[in-house]
Amino acid sequence: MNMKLLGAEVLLYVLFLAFILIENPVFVAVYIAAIVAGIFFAAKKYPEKLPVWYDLFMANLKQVGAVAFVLGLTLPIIIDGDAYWLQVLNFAMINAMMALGLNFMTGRAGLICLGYAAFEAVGAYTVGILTLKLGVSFWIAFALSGIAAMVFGAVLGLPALRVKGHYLALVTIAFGLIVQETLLNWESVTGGTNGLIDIPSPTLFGYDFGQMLDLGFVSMNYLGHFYYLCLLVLALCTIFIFKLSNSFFGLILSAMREDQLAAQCYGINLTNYKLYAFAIGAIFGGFAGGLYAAMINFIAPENFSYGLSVIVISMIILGGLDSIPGAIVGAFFLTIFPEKFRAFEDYRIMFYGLIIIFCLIFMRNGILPYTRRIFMSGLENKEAEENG
Amino acid sequence: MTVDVLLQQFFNALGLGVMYALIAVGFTLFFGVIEVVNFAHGEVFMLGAFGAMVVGTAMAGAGVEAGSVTYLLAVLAIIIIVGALFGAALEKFIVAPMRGAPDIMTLLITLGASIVVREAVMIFFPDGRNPQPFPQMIQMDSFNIGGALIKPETIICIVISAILISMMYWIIEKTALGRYIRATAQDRQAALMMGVNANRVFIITLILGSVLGSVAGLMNGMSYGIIKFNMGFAASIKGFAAAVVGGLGNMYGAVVGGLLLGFLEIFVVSFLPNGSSYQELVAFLIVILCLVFRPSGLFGEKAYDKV
Repeated sequence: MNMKLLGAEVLLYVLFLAFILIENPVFVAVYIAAIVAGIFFAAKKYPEKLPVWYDLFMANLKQVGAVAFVLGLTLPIIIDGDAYWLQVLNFAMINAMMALGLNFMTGRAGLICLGYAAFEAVGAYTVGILTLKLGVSFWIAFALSGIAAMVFGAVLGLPALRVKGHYLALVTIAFGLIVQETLLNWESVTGGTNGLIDIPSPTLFGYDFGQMLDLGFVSMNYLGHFYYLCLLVLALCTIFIFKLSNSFFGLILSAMREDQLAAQCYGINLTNYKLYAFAIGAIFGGFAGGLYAAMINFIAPENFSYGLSVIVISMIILGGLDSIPGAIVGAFFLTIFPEKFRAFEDYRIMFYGLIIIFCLIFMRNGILPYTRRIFMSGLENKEAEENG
Repeated sequence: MTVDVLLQQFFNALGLGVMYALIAVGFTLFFGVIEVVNFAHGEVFMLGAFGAMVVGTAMAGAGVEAGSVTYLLAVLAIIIIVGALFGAALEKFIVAPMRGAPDIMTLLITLGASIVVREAVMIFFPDGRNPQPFPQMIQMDSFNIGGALIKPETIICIVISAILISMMYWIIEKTALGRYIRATAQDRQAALMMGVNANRVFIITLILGSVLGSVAGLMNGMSYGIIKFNMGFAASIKGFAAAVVGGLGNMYGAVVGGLLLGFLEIFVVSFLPNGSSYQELVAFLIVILCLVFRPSGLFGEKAYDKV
């Protein structure tokens, strides 16, 4: 346990809390500007300190993640179970799951996907149809939502196998629109434009997630249950993606992204790995959709539009392509920040577009850039661990 | 099925097809010369239509009769100005800063640009959220060809496109500028060494393609009489699809692809039962089929990777 790191993380947590608790949009703008200016001047004054801190964070991601999880458990208590902010935080976590999945596809494997919202739609409608129309338990439907999205990911991967970047963009946009059209027109199953209403809340051993969550000293409405559920699922997703990205499999996907031809020359079967990347990346969208459907109780095709796909893309670009902490931070920031400026609701989508342009021109690696893994053979790795 | 219905649908399909062809030529030029897939291309289509609408309404307000020479010249001028400015701005602020970046990033930044432009029109144009009526540009009776009534707008669209595409052919094949463009497309490094000013070629290419796109927007407004801020999205998807079907980078392929798409769409809408609900899906279907069976397009050369 690195105490310096723990202190820094608690400080970041307090900054994040302040960001949530400040209501006035002007103050929020000032606050963000102050933080950015602070980082800027710190980087100017102590040019050697900031990278050291950053490397320290990146080298101890396990500890950072564990502490973030524990701090996340306390968040609903500190905001006193405020329903509005619970809802926003739940959305942030659902978006973070999608960002993780898209980041795996686009950031890690280099396969651009402009129809990611379709996977969330598949997951959401799987849960919606199974629990509402067939009376299946939420937990089974939730597991199936990931599997259904995975199948769709593989299906999308099939025409994509023979084509490269630019064409892939077109195919994935088409895929997103086809899924949405199908949801709109297949009324007997999906409810058409009206969507599915009154999706039942999950129950676990007779405990209904739709009731109030009373912790004794603080009580919150049903969103509290979903907060902890989302937090758990997000943590599991993050661990899974983290392990996968740092495995040999993740290395192969990186090689494929950097140079398909070179990867092929080293004996990598591009066809299989592209399919795997699509299928695995899609799972997280499915889970996100499953949680969304159960939490909101109402889903309609327009919730899963092309615009949502673009929003998820802006999240991973802001965080930094191929950066796992970046995807999560980007999702949280871009979900919470617009909530502060709800008077400017119209400008919301434009804001995401501006974020994409700004990041790509001025900081192409995002706010939390991906750190290249240092190659160590198995033996060296062991020695490094023993030496601390 | 009588001859006049067939003839009528033939002209409708031709009108739609040339519009897609004009958009597709832009896509294919950008890809061939600058190696950029420009997702913001649909927005110049929308801006062209809005520009023509604003000027048309203003001219009508000033008492200039629709269809008169002054009126048409003013509309034409604004179309060209909008296209040229958009193309130049795109090169300056969006494409040029990304030179040398991975393809995926260039693609994403044009996507960002398209969103910003689209939303800006929605927010800042008065009542931009709702569909806008497009002013009548010409006053003419419908033509009667073999019993089929053909709208004058359709004929004009076909004629304008034929002229523009011939002009593009002339520019690309016969002029010095066209030689520079072709040289840059073929081998940028070699062209630079031969003294071609590649940056100028890029900006001119973007301007040429964008003007074609903005004319397509005018044609869309004239044919349907109604325009909306998000019209560029569907248009760009279809134009891109047409370019892909023709083989990205091949200008004549793009024209054929556009026509093919127009004919297939009209065929599906008018001759299949309940066809209009599938209209939007036709483009995607043929693109996916095309990519699966002929990834380099109908007329594209087979691509080999350079090591």
